[in-house]
Amino acid sequence: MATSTLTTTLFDDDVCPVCQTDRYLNPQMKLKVGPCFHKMCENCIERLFANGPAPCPTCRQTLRKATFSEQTFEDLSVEKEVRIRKQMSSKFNKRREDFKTLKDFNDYLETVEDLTFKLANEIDVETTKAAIDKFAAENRDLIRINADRLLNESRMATQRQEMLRKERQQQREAYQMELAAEQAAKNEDRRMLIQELATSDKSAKSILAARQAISLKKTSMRKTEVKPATTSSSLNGTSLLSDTYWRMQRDEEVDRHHEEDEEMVADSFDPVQSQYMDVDLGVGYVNSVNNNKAHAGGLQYPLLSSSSGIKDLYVEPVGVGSLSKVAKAGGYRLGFGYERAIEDAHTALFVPTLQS
Amino acid sequence: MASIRNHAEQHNTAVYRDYKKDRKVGEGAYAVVYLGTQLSTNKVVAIKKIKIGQFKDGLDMSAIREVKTLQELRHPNVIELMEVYFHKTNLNLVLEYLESDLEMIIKDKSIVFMPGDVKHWMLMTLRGLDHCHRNWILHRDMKPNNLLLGRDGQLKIADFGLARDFGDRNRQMTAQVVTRWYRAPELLFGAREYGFGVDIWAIGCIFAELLLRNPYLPGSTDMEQLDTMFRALGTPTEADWPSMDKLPNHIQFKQYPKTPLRLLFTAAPPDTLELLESMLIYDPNRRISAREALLHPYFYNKPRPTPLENLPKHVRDTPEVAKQKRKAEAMGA
Ligand SMILES: Nc1ncnc2c1ncn2[C@@H]1O[C@H](COP(=O)(O)OP(=O)(O)O)[C@@H](O)[C@H]1O
Ligand SMILES: [Mg+2]
Ligand SMILES: [Zn+2]
Ligand SMILES: [Zn+2]
Repeated sequence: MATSTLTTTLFDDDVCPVCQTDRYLNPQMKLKVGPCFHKMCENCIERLFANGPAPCPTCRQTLRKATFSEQTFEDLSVEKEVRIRKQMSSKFNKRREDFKTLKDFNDYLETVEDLTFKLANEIDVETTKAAIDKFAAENRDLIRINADRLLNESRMATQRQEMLRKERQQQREAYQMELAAEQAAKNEDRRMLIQELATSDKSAKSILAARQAISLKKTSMRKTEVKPATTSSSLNGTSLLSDTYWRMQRDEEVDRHHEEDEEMVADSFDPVQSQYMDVDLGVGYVNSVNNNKAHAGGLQYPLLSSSSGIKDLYVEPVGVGSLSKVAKAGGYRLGFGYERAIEDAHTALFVPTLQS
Repeated sequence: MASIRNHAEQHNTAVYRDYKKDRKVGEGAYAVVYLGTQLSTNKVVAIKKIKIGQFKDGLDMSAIREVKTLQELRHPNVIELMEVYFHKTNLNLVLEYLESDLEMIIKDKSIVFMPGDVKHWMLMTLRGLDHCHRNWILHRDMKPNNLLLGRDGQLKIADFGLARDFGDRNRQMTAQVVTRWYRAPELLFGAREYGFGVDIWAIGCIFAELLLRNPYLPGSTDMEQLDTMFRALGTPTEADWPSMDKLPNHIQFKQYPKTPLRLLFTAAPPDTLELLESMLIYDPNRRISAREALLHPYFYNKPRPTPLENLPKHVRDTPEVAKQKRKAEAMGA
């Protein structure tokens, strides 16, 4: 026992405490941490939890495969506290405005801190967990509302950040354009000046003075030309909210950055997902036109043609006949009557017989 | 015969006793909606109490329509009818409870919309509607307020009070359907025979509203509605919409020119505008169908629809604030 503790501490990240696989022998080995803060390698996780929940080999707590995750912090005690704080904040999400006085709010924060400390240091675990569950049950509605608020606020914050970034970039670009324009103008001025000095019979001094006045004017003109573009996306609240289109383009850009991980989604995306068509109809809900499975399978019911030699006993549904221009303009199709009558007749074949 | 009836009554009483109405949450044209509880499971439900109709038999056609329609339709994007019971002379529909609707989200200015959000809402709406249409049900009252949103972000088409079973030309339909702003041009022209296109037009208006965060075609009378529509999309010609002048209430209108959608929806990408445009085609026969819309590149192109759990939520009042508001309301009433 003593030796095994020693090895785990010595080689902490290099040996799986369960199967003893060594990183030097198997560089692909990846250790993950369970909710009980015991580590094991991915192979062990696969093996132990292949058939559903099973006990942790170290502490016997029942675990599932999905509850294991990669370690973010090197120090396992930091990892533990961070995870606990995250769990706590999903329940203890009250805000100042949820309390009458500042003192009440501070008392609440202190209680949360106490509970977190106890959990992280495994003091009175059972009573602490019970206290947390009680709080969660009593504040269920408020917790949900605050979670929604948080979601909307973080969306808004992301939005603002993105707009700020964009605005800075625009400013930078505008500034660079301004610089380039100025440089080009200066070069042009010099060229003209040299030419004028070379060809004109005026005194050099008066030519220089006239030139300077013109170039000053030009610079200030250029500056005002560039300005509007940089201030167009003001950050005041209302324009931020009404500017949907602006965001549309921005989002596309952000999207291009995520191109790679998006590809996977693109392949598996199906707008007419058959799962949605395959809703099981309970007893009593069986209706001849509602055989979703038949629909989802793309089943079609061809009309018997007269050439097949079978006498068709098909009774023409009411209303199928000539279609007036009015009906056509209104969007009514002659096909509706036929299609429906045929479906009604055929889909009934798939209806399970009712038990009497 | 008597025993069957007895049995049915017993069943009804058992169902009725299982539900408790907690408080009123909404009121519509022919119903009051309550927040309720199923006592046996402690599950939160919505109970829609249908007001006694004008018909002698005590029951409104629209109520029967709603029950029949919902019983037949089962889909993740269509509201689920859990149970039906009578109490006194009222018909009560027990529905799954959904806490907000698309109208609230559109009006809540603390929420930013990302293009992916709009795409997912459109996707869910069209999936639900496609299911209705494939089962020969026209909804006929599509509008943001009838698209309910669950806590999980799932959108469900609700309020089937005006829905109807069609494909059978026995019965003529009424042109007085669909809240005006979302009403298709053929309905405004009084068509009595129409098709799935009326729901698609409405969805087109909702799509535009999601992009604008404002109603797209807000007319205050039927006449003004047509005027608003034609100003925005151009007055249709005989070539655009053959035989439109045969429709009962057709009237000659001032010839407004066709303006491209991108002039109003300045930065919406081309795929978005193309889908929107194909939903707002005057001739109902050429208008896109729900199924075709689902297969439109818009849904395959980026950005992807925002995952359900990341869709913005309507933030309700905290329990304390809500209680105080109800108290104040009760005092005022
Ligand atoms: N399932 C539900 N869950 C929560 N609220 C609902 C539900 N159904 C309806 N409501 C509320 O009640 C209002 C009226 O319901 P609705 O079905 O639209 O009736 P109507 O047909 O009379 O317009 C809705 O706008 C909504 O606010
Ligand atoms: Mg309604
Ligand atoms: Zn291992
Ligand atoms: Zn363990």
